[in-house]
Amino acid sequence: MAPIHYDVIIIGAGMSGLAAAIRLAYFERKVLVLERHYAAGGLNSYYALGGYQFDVGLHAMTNYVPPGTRGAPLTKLCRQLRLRPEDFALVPQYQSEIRFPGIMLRFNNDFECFIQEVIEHFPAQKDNFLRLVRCIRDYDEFDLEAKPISGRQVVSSYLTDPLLIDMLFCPLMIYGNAAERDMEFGQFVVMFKSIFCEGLARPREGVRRVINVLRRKVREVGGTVRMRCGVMALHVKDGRVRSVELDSGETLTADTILSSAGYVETLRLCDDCEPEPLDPLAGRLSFVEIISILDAPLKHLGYDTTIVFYNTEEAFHYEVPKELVDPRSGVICCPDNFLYDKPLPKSVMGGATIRPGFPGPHRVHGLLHASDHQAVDRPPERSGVRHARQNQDGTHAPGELVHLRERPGVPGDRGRDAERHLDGQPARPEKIMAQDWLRDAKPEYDVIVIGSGLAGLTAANRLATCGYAVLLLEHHYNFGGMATWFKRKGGHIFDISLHGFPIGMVKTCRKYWTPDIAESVVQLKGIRFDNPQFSFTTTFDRADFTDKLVTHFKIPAERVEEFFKFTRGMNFYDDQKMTTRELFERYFPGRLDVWRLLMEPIAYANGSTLDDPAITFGIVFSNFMSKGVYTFQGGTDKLIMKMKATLKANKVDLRHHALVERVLVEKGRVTGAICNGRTIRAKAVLSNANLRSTIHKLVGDEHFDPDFLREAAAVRLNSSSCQVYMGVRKGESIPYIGDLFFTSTHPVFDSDALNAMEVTSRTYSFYYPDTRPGSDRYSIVCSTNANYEDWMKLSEEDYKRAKETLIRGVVETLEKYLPGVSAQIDHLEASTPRTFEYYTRHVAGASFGTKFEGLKISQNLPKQIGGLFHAGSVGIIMSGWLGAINYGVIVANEVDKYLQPGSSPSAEDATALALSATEARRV
Amino acid sequence: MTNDQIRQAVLQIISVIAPDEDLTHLKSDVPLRDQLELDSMDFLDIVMELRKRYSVEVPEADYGQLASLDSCVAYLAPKLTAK
Repeated sequence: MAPIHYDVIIIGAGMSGLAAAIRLAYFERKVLVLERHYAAGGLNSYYALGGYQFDVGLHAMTNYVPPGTRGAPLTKLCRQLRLRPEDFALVPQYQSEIRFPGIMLRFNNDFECFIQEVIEHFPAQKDNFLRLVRCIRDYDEFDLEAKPISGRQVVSSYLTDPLLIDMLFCPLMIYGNAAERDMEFGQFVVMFKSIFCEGLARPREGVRRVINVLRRKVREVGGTVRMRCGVMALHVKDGRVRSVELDSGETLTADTILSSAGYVETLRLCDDCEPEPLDPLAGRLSFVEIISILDAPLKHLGYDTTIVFYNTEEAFHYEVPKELVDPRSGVICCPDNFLYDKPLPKSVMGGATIRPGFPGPHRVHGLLHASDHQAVDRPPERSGVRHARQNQDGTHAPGELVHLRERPGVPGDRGRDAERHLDGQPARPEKIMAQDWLRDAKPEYDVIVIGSGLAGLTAANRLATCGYAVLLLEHHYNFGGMATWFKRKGGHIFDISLHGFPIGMVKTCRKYWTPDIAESVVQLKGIRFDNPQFSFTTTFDRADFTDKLVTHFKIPAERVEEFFKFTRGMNFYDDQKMTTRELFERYFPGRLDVWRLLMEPIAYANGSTLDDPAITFGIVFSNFMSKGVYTFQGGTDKLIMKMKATLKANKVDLRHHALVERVLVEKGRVTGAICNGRTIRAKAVLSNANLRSTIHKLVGDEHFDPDFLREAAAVRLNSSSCQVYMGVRKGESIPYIGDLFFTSTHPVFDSDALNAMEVTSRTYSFYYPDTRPGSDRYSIVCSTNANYEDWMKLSEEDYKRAKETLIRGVVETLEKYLPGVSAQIDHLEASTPRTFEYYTRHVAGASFGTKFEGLKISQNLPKQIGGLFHAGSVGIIMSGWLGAINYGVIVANEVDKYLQPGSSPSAEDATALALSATEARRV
Repeated sequence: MTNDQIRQAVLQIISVIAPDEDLTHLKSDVPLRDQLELDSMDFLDIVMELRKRYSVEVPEADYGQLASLDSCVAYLAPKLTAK
């Protein structure tokens, strides 16, 4: 019988073999793929063992870009294979790290962040690095004619710090270099772009998703894949392959043979080959892989890093080890730490239900001397992949965290925290099950609200009560945005931003939430000041302020009256050029003590300065002066709980752990969003994310008018904050010394001093037991305003020290007013602009949104893109709890207008601007 | 095929190769690469699709003839009139 003849026979069903098969079969070639193993994928394969499914080789796919990104390799690849990027269901990474002794560089899928990170840690290399980046961007790495050049040589001609050079080479070599010590520059550029400029992602199901998509496509276009069909030999005659002999003895013929086996391995298959001269060409490097099964999801333990590239020595060595394995450097991947929306496949979860055990494999790579090059031909489970030890009863030995615990060179809080928690708290399987963050989400909603700050929550509630189908997506596990809280061991509970709001909150909550929520609003009567200029306690309302200004500061009563009248009557349409400083000059010239009284609390409330428009001061100040300062009895947790219950009752689909990557825009209108890798359609999207991230990251500059972008780029962010949380030991109590306490040792009010690292001004919020009726606990939160830049530029070491200094200063100051309090405190913790950035994802950790000009940009978004809305802290007047809630209401009305049949998308935007001012005023 | 049918055929092929591109405002006399995100691989695909669909062979030397919609039509017309 004549052998079957093909146009092309492809050896190997790895990714390249399958991709080639798709192209050839699509263009009507008769194609056969031969694969020796029973699973496709080659070095990027998968297998199941003991109820778990494991990947081989693939930690993450590099080159990730969001679907629709033009010109990127991934986009092009999909085009060429006639696949949609969505077919791979890639889920982006959270964040990864390059760790060397004493230093760490973080990166995620936003290249700008990495540039900043490098500049912060290597300020002297800033210009050099930026030049290198430009060189990399301009380099044509696909020029096949290019002469190979040494990557280290080129990079060293730009960078002069060997540590930075090694830190850049480490991940790029581990993930993509076959040679020892050096890397060809073109390859360096390829890897640099694919890992740093683009990014990392992984399909939820792991590599099998990619392989299955490719295999399905091969079938679809008419190609054939034969598994367990190894090639024994390629019979060569007169310099041409005449036939292919399989392990089974069968013979096939083809016009063309395309081998995706290695170069040396392919030549060895040819029966005219002389093996000896090939030896020096064989690859010298391989790796050993350890897969551990942890008994807790790492994310729940505060360890959320996706991939760590580590090196434990000063210099990075990438070479054939002298010993069997070189453990000095490697890579650790946590497949759990991608932004998934669905649980891992059932078979994996099945294992988790029978016994405690977390299915996510956790890996360490080291280098292994591949003295036997044949090893790479073996099926993966025999080529050095080892499994975590299992006890006979089927549970996993606690010692499985061996590499986290004993790995010498990967220091860091998170690793150690994970360890500690693991020892103390075995995770419960039901917690592991709760990973389908978008389970049963509908494919389409009327409105998607991004972010669950008070503005987002309120807008969602308003829209749901109007009858719209609303999906609320929050990336964090908690709702509330900055209006949030956290708990700590020892029964401590801390409020982040519950410091005090105006009486208007009562009416707002009654109208837009429930009477029940409104009834929990109670007054804080003790507002205390202590600074070099004055020292007293006030109820912070018009009557008491008038009294203080007249009796303490000796200001004529008429002047005080005029001032109140003027601020109360300040109108949005007024001249906005007047600054707060000019306002104060007009009424209280030269009276810096009065300026401080008026300004300091407002600066803490909304980050504004004397140089912001006077209206931003006037509106917020007047709101407080109406009846004083109020709080929510029961704490932030109770408020958010009640809001959540209301939202649920109103049928809002609430999702946490749901990170929106992209707002989808087609033909100038919003069509939905991509969240945790899934596309959800919607007629309108209301972003409660930071204004700048909404424009640049979620939507993308390409959808906006250049003029609008220019205006948006000019929007300044407000400052950020630091907070110190002090938990008083159970059973201890502190005397009442006021609810809000503004302290300062600085001679006068000074915005720069307020934000400085050298803290002189602090505000303390005291939470007595009646904050949460029924509780007997006391806690204190100290807030200071801060500059993001000051904190970001610190090295890990300096950052730690700065936090300690911050905490010490806060406690020492408090000790002056509450002697002995430091001995009563049993929990101390600080947050910084970095912390705020991490949890809220706000650009620059901005804790008060944008300056005044941000309001206009926020309100003009729908004019740019139909159905795109923003609500959040903008323009100073819309910040704070009341401002945020009211702005949520205003924008919800705009969304409603947009969704009304027959409405034009940009109608009446101008009135919204005016309305916002009055809304905020009416409180 | 008429010139208009050829134009439609080319557009149809481009829409398969680059499904994310908006082709509604494509100018006929401006090079495709100036208006669309098409690289050399995509052009290769256009050639291969032409072969697959219409059995038209475009030798590598003639790839330049496919630069714009107009030049595509001019170049393909003699090859496709009979089809």
